[in-house]
Amino acid sequence: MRTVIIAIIVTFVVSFLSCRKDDKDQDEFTYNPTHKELDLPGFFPKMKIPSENPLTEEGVSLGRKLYYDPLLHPDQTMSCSNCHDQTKAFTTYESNSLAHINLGWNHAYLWNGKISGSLEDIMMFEVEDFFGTDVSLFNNNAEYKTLFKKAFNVDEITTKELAYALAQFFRTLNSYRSKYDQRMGGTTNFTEAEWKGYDIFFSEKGDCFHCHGTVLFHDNEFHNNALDENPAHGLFAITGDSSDIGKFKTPTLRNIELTAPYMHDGRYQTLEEVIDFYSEGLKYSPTVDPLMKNVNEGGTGGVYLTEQEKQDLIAFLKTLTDQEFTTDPELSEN
Amino acid sequence: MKKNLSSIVISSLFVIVVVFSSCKKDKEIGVTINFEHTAEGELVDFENIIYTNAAGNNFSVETIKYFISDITLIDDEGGEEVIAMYFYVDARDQNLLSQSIHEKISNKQYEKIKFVFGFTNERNESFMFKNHPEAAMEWPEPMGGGYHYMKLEGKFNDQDQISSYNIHTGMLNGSANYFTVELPLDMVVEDGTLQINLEMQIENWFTSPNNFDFVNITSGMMGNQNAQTLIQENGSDVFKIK
Repeated sequence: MRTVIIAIIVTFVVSFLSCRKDDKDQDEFTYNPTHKELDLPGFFPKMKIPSENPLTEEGVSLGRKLYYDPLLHPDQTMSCSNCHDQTKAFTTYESNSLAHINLGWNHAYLWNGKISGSLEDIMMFEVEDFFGTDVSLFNNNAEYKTLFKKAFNVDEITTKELAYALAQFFRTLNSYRSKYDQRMGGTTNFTEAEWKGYDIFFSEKGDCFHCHGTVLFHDNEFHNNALDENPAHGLFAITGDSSDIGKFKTPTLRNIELTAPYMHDGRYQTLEEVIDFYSEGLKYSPTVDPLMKNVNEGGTGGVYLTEQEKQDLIAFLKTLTDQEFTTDPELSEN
Repeated sequence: MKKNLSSIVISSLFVIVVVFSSCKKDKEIGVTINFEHTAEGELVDFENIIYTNAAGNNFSVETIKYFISDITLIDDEGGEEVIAMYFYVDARDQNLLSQSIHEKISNKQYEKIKFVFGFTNERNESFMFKNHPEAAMEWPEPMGGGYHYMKLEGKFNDQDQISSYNIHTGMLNGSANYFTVELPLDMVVEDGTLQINLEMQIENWFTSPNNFDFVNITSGMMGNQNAQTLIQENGSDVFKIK
């Protein structure tokens, strides 16, 4: 009896598999995306890739095409690259947008933290809310139909696949080949001025590292950095928590030489102005971050650097410029 | 007969799959530590300047982030069982206020828990944490490297002027500014699991034996070995088992 049942089970399983094989033979297309590995230095953090959107050659390539395609906009008047220029480390002066650098490690996006979560979450916002993409433009485009089929095995393109493709491309927008990184890897050395600037950055003299530390040169948090006595709402607009008034996202300092203007409202045009602010221009407000310890209620303050120290600090900041990132053809428009 | 047999086979297959899926072993939980942060007997209020330390500073608490490491249980015969290499705690992150070790412990009577506040110098290696939030606790290389043991921050009222304080402790230029905490447990484990409620009493950082005055660290204390020592010495009675 047991033998009969086992035989029946085996027959059932084999028959089921055979049926699947027959169905497969009837399709002309085989979904077989190619896994893509990120080539990052060992001292970089591990990037979490969601299982529902693994990195593939097809997905990244599609996301890169979308990044530069005005078809994302219903009127086809703008693409991501209009406000995110590779030569400016994927921002532009006019937009003062947060640069698209190393966002695969972020968990909050936009100056006021409006979107939190993964790159898929922010890309859904960009596609559905910022651009208001008309997916029919893509579904009526034979080339895109083929590309989305290869990347996601879909016959009907939705905002989800658009967002997922963009997210995959964003995970490749990584800056890790600056002079700073080369020094970390032992293949170059700093000048005397750059070393002095490094010491100012990574000590309580400049105190930059508390917010702009780690290899990402940001802390993934929000701070009120003593810009104003009556600061703009910032994160408070999202959380409704009054203690978040004046808090904005810590931007990365990677490629900071290229990403003027500075601060959430673009008030500073040069690195010199930024350093002057942190040196003598801090303004107290009740929600100022305790890390801004050099300013007291009712007054202004700062870390009070000498002119030479300011120049040295700027020399160090310029070591974070990554020309390979801003010229990499793999990140450029096809 | 054939139809009934077929139904039995298919049903059996389904049951087998369901049972197999259910049998997937959930991660077992051994020890859970619940971290609680109090000031003047109550859970910390992160909004207002309402506390007073022994030096007379009226102060608030806005940030409490720290590491404990080499967490060890000591049984009634003096035997030691290391249960975790480290925990990172952010008092304002609900996800980090209760942390568990996914391995059951031996059934016995445990007399004490012991841990290092911060890291020993040997353990405090630069770049051992690559991901946030732990990575953001880095202690700069020019100042000794490794990681902050603690960031305890807020504001204080000094002669009617509000200023900020940063209690940042770490391995300044190689100094062993960590300390070991040993607390009584007196708990019997019968099923391999244990819950420990660990309380940090904030005001105790600033007294006993040293009355710590924030006005002495308005420019920071990371480079101030004297201040590091004062806080280290005060740390002996900061933690309690509830």
